[in-house]
Amino acid sequence: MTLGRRKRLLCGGALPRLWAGSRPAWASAGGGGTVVAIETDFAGVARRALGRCPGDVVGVLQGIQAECGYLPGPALAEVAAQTGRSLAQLYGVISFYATFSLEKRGRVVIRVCQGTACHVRGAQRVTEALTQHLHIDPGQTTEDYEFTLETVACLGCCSLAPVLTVAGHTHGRSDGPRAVASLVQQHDHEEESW
Amino acid sequence: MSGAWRATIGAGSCGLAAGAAATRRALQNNAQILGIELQIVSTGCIGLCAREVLVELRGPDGVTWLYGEIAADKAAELLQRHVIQNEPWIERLLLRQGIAVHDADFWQWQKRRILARCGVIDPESLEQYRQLAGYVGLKKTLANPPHALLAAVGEAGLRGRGGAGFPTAQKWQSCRETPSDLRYVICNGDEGDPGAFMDRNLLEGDPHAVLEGMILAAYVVGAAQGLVYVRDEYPLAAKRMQRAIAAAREAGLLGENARGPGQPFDVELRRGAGAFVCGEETALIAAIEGERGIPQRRPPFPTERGLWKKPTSINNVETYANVSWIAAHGAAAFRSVGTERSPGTKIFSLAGDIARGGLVEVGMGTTIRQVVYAIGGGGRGGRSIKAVQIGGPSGGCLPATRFDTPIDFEALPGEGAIMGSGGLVVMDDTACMVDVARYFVGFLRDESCGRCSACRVGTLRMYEILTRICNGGGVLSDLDELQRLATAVGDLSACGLGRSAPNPVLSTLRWFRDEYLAHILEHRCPAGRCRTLTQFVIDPYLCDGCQRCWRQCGYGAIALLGRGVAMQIAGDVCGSCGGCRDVCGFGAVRVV
Repeated sequence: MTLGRRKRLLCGGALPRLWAGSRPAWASAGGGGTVVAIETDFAGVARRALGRCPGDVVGVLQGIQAECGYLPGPALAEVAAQTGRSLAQLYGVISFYATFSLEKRGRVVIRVCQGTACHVRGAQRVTEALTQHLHIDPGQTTEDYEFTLETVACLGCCSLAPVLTVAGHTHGRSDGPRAVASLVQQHDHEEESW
Repeated sequence: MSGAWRATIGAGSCGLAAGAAATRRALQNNAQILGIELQIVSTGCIGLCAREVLVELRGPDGVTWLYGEIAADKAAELLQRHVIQNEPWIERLLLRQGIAVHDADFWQWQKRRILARCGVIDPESLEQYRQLAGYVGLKKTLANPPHALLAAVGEAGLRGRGGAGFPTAQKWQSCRETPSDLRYVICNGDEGDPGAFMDRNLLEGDPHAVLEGMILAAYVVGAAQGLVYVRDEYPLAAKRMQRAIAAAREAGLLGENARGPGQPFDVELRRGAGAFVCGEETALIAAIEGERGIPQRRPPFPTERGLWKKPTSINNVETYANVSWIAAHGAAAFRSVGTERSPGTKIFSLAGDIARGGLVEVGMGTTIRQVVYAIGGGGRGGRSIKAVQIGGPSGGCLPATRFDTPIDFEALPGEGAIMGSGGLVVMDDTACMVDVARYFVGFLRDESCGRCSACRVGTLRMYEILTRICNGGGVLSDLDELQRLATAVGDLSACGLGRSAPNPVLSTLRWFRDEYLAHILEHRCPAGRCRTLTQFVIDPYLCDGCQRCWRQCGYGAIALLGRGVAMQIAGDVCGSCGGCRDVCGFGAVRVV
C-alpha cells in the first residue's frame, strides 16, 4: 500500500533533513546540455533567484532547481529567511509539486511519459527497458550521479506515444530498444537543439 | 537552380520529438551540397502529428507542397526528387497548394478556424500574425465601449473550452460587476489531462491569438494585470508565449496604453510545477500565490474573490483564442458552426491506437464516429477500435456502439463521459478496460491534493480493488464495492477533481462489465494486457519468421529457430509485456 506523494505530509511522514549542512561541490562530467552547479554557495543561488522573481515562491524554487538540479537545504534556508516563511511551510509547497526534488539528481534526467496514449501504447515497456539498462527504478539515481529515471504525467506529444525526454530533449515513438538508444544519442543533443 | 526555395518545418513539441531539428540540419546540409538556395523557417504544429516530421516546400512559383514523414534520412531524397528532378515525391505528398493528395479525409472534415494560423505562420513573428487578421479584433473592440464585446461574446454563446463549459460572458460580467480597485485576468494553460495537447499547440503555434484574447478580456472586465499559467511540462509553449509577450510589449499592445489611452495592461508568465489539480481555478490561484495547490470552496467564486483576494477572471487557452476570433469576425459568424447550445468549433487531440493521430478542429455536434473514422482513419494497422476515452481522468470511456453520440456539452454527460478539454484517446482490442480504469484511478490517487478524505482514501481503495482484479484476485462483490466507493467519492469531494474521479470507473463498469467479469470469473484478460493473466503464443501458420519480435523482446523469451522459420515463445521466461504483439505485422502473436 502506497500513499501518493502529496499525502505524506498530511499523514505525518518524516521530514527530510532540509537543514543539513551544505553538500560537497560536484561538477559535470562533460557536456550533455544539463545544468550543473559547481559552486557551494547555495545561499547565493537562492538570493539570485529571489532577485529574479520577487513574490513568486514557486518561481524562486524553480530558479534554484534550474541552477542546482535540485533544491539544496542551505538555499531553502535562505529562501525561508528572506520570505518570512518557515521551512515547514516551504516543505509543504515543495512536496506538493512533482517537479521539485530535495535530493541531488543525475547529470542526465530521463523522464518517461505516463500519459493515457503512452500508457495504451506501452509506456511500461519503455520504463522496464530503462530500468533494466540502468539498474535503477523510477525515482532513483545511478550511483555515479549520471542518470536519474523519473516518470512524468503527460508531455503532450500523444500522437508520438510512447514518449520520453532525455536531458530535456523529447523522443517520440520509443519502444524498449529505442528508448535505450536515445540515451546513447544524448551526446548529440547540444547541436541538435532548435 | 531556379530562384529561392522555402522549407517550412512543423516545429511544435511533437515535431521536435519526431526529429524536426535533425531534419532541418539535413535539409540545410543537403541544400548546400546540391546547390539549392533554400530558406528554412519554422512554424507551429501543422496538425497531422502521425506523419511528423512535416515539411512544406514552396518553390519560386509560389506553389506549396506539404510532405509528411520526412525524417533526417529522407531530406536528401526529398530535395533530389522535388527540386532537382522537378518531380513531386507523390508517396509522401500530403497537400499541394492546400489540396489534399494523401490523407485527404483528415483535412476535409475539419473546420480549422481557431487553428487556421497554427502551422502556417512563424509563431514568433508578430508581423505574420498581423498579416492573417491578427489584432484586427482588438482594434475594432477598442473603438467601442467594453460592454459591446461582452454583448458579442454573450450573443455568440461562447462557453469555456477548459471542460466545464461555463458561459464566458457570464463569468466576465460577474468579474466586471464586483467592486474593486484591481482586477486580474488569468490564462489557464495548465493542461493537465493526460492525452490532451490542444492548449500546448495553440501556445506553441499561435501565441498571439491567446494574448489578444487576454487583452480583450482585460478590456471587458477592466483588469490591469494578466497572468499566463503554463504547466511545467510544456517548456516550448512557455518560451513562445514569453516571446509573444515581449513582442507585444515592444509593439505597444501591452503596457501603459494597452486598453486605450491611460489604461495599462501587462501580462506575466508563470510556470506550473507539476500538479494536475492546479488546473482547477482556485488551486491555480493558490499555486500562483506560492501555496500548496489545494482547491478552495466555492463560492466565493474567483470572479468575486480571486488572486490576492481581488476579482479574477480565469479562462482557458482555447477560450481566449475563440474570443479573438469573435472580436475579429463577429458573433453571427461564430454561431454559423456548432449546435444551438454549444456553438462554435472545438479542438480535439486525437491519439492512441489510431491511424492518423493529430490535432483536429471540428464543429460542435460532430459525432465521435466522424472524428475517429473519417478524420482519424480508424484503428492503427487496421485493428478494430473498441473504445474512446474522452475528457481525460474526469471523463469516461465510450464503447464503439455509442460512437454516434455528438460531441458537445449536452450529449456526452448522458453517456457517462464529458467533453473535458478535448483529449480523445482511441483504444483498440489490445487495450484492457479494467487496466485503463486502474490507470486513471492511479493517476487521480497520485494527484489528489488530499484535502477531502473521500477522494484521498477513496481513490486509493479503488486502486487497490482494481489492481486485485487485474491480478486475477478479484471477487464478484468487488464490483458492487467499486460502484459504492465511486459514488461516495463523487458525492463527498469538494472540487471537480474528486467529484469526477469516479467517472473512469463508473463508465467502464457500465459499458465494459464483461471485461471485469472475464477477469474475475475466468481469470483471463481478453485484451492480453494484464500480465499475470496473460500468456502469448505465436501462431506458426501466420508467422513469417521475420524475427522482428525476437529483436523487440526484452526478456529473451523468443526462440530463434532460423530465418523464415516460425518463432516460438518460451512461456516460463516470457514477461507477457506484449511487445512482440505490437511489432508483429502478421497478427501472429495471440493471447491464449
